[in-house]
Amino acid sequence: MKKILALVLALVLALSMCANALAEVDPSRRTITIGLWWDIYYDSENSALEDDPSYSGTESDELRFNVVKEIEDKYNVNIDFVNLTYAGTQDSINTSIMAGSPDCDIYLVELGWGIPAAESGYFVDLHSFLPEDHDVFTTHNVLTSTTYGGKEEAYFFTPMGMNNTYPLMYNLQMIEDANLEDPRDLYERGEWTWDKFIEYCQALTKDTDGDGVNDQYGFCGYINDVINNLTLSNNTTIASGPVENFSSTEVGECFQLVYDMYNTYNVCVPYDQTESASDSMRVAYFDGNVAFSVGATWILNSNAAYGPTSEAPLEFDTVFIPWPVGPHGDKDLNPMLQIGSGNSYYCIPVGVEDPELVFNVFYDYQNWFHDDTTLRDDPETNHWWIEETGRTPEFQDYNYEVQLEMLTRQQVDMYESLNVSLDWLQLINGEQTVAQFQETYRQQFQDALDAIFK
Amino acid sequence: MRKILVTLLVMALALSMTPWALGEEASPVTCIDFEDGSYGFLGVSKPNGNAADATIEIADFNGSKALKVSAPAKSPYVGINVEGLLGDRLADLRSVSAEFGVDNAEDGTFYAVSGVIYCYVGEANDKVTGNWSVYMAKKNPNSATLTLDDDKAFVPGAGNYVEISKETDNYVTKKGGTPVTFYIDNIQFLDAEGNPLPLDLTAEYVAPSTGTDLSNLWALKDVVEFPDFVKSAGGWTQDGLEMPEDFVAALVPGSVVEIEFSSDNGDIWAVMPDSAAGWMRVGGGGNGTDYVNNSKSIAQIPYETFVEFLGEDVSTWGARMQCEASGNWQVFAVRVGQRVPQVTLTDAVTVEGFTVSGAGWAQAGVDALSEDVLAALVPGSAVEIEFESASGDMWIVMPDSANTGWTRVGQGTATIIGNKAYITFEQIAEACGSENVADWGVRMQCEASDAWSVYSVRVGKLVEIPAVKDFVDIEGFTVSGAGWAQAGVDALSEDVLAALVPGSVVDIEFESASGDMWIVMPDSVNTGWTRVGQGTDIIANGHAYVTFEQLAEACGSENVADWGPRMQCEASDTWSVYSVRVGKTAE
Repeated sequence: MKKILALVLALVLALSMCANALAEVDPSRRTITIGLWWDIYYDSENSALEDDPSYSGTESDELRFNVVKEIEDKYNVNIDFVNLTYAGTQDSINTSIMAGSPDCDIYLVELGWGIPAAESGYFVDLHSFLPEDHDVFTTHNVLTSTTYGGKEEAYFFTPMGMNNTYPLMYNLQMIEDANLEDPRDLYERGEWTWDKFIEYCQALTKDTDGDGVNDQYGFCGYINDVINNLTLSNNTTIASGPVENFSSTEVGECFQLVYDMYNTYNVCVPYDQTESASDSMRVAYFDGNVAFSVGATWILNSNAAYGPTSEAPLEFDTVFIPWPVGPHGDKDLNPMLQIGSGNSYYCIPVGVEDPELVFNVFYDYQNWFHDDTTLRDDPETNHWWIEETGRTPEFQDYNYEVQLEMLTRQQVDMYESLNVSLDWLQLINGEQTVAQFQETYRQQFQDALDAIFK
Repeated sequence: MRKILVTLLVMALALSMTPWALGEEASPVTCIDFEDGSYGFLGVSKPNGNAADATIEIADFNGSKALKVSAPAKSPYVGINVEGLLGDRLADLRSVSAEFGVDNAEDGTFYAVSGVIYCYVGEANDKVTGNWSVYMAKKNPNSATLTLDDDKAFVPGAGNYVEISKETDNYVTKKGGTPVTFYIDNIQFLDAEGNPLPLDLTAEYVAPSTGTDLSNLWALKDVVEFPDFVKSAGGWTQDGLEMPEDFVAALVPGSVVEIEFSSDNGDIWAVMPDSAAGWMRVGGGGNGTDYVNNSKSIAQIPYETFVEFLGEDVSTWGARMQCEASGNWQVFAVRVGQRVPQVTLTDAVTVEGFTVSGAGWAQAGVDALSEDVLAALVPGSAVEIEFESASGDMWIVMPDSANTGWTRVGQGTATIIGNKAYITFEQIAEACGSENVADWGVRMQCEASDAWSVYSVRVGKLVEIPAVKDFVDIEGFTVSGAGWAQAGVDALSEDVLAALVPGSVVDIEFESASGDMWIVMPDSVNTGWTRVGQGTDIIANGHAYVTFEQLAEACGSENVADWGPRMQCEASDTWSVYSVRVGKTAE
């Protein structure tokens, strides 16, 4: 009898193991593979929170871990993030998509080589299966998409989250001391324009000690930061598609503003003519005698402007604000964050089965916070982006909101990575007119774009 | 009879199938498949600090023979003598293709790897690169092809070659284990139409010449050779010779004994068996340390180290000098000379048109120094002359000096290091009797005491490259970044912190598109996020040197604990750091 019982027990055990095994190899269960060039945690391979070497015990860690199981159950899929190496990712895209059977359901790409691949028809347009009011096109709570070269198609998407933005920042006390209206009010009313900005810069550029030399300035900024933001504010780009836009009227207006600020209105801190300009022109604001400059959390942090570790915080308040609107810009439509060719985005290759399912799986994976953006933007996680930018919570919170807003309005412009060496000093020093400046480099940009879009 | 006929028929058939029977030549080899086991036309290459001590062999992979490349750490590189393989068809080469495969890692799992095919082309050996990868188990092996752009070409006689590396290994990145072994097979060299070119597999691989490695060392002057010091022995075994009189006479303060060697463990030192102080090791083996170059081929032991163990009276050091190492060793030469710092120029400008030559005591040069050259001639600067001369000497002539007339400068006093002579601003000013460059005249010429050629002349700020020893590696400092991006290590180990003392130097082996490199200390207690050495560190031969004193000044403290736990690197354009270490400079 004991033998029979033992036999039955063994049979039951064997059958249960078979059942588990069958469950694990459910043939209908699809694996959604995401190819990229670093390791991402968590996916269906991970069985413990500690599998992520950077696990720190936060609520977001737990939510990101749990969402994998939720997605597996909801869609009957596994999620597999595969580190293909950088070269392997490009290799896989160039060979397997072309062959009609992509190795991965989603790829991470850098726009510098992702855009040419898109031009070759390698990626699926999100508009082909998503409604126009989808979050990725509108509210950007979970993902945001980007386009390039004036195209309608949206091939590229990326999770929302904190990143560097470059708002205009200003010294509030200097504005108040000059009895000027707070630019935030002007922005709200749609009156924060280039003309108004120049008016403010002129009013704030002064010789305060009467020695015949200006010692307070309206503006200071590193020229690359300035151009990036002026083009955005004039709703234009220099090089985002197959045809250069460096020579366009819209871009010319940006150059003219720079030319005038330095040569006509004389409202800027004299520009550093050395290679140190990227440092010196980003820090002059902190001397307290400059009204407007290019802001960024990292710039404030590296100058110990505010923040909990600053031993000598600035004695004036800094306010972030979107850049003034240019003559071809639109307050409600202007992009606010430039995306260069080195930025990474996800995309779905042509040939993938049921791209809508693939997208939804990825969307839900990134929505580990279940639409509660206070979890996504958890101050416990993002405190650095908040505390470093202002003297008091009032300004910290305001500046944080401006950064969040700017993150939702991205625009591709590859001009900085096309190896066209621009001598901005020619423009700043008034040695070339805008037309001469545009003509000097126009063809170089076109040649560089031809190489990408060949 | 029928049997005989059948036999004859079979023989005739067999003969007809052999090409030589019909006078045809055998098909040329157009693919390197390693099936015959030969691979003398390629070899392990070590082009930079990230290159591994790799081993290569022929092994079975994926059902055939392939070149197996293994390395315990870092990135293996394989160089190919493409000119030897292709001979006079080298100029036709437009594409290189090969198959790449990998073994599973130690944990039995597949990890993606990738590497680079390098083609060094043109008269100047310009680098052209293309990637290869094995990115998924189902795509193992995988093929890759690098095709040259139209404006690039291999040039016979220019020393062009091909190199293949493995540079990304996900197993190492993720698990930190031994790099996976990779395989190369079916290498083909294709012409513009994609046809494989015929190959001469008897070609022999010769590693590209990179010159003498003088890293970490001093330059020597007034050198006295120790004749016939060619010795070898096993580990901890000594051999040597009686010291010649002129060699002993040169053992004076400021001198250094230099040993050219190879050894199993990369070490070598001197033994003085007859010293009044007793049988004595010097410069290693427990009695001090010596300066060794990165190639572990030249060691230098300063006079002061001998004094430390033997006393100041050279006559008590004994008659013999021997060498010894901790493993098998060979010594190829020993010499003594006065040490002079190696130097280089920073912010240098080239004197255009200074490619000239002459007979002994003949002068040639440029008729006018340009404005930028004149502007660079300031106190602390020097003229650097890249030259060859039969006599080994070189100096300059200022024919139009306002105060002194036709004037030789640096004759016998120029600092000559390898094929470069350095003559300082101060030497020229003294010889021309004026610190005003305008008084020196418009012309500058070169001269030597025997036939000479000058390949280039530059003017820049003269900086000394420190001699460094007792290195402590900062583990995990193989990082890279875009311009103005930082990367490094999150914590400096105890032994690194202990090595960061006054007189120490951080030695960064790197490449950057802009040629610059510096350190960032993000957590400096006194100064916050801090750049150190930007534009002020010494950069030479792919290394940047940042001194303890620079770090202390920038971080506002000599207490290393105040510098914060992290150390990072940064440059103004795309950069890679292969290693970072802390060493001790000479006092």
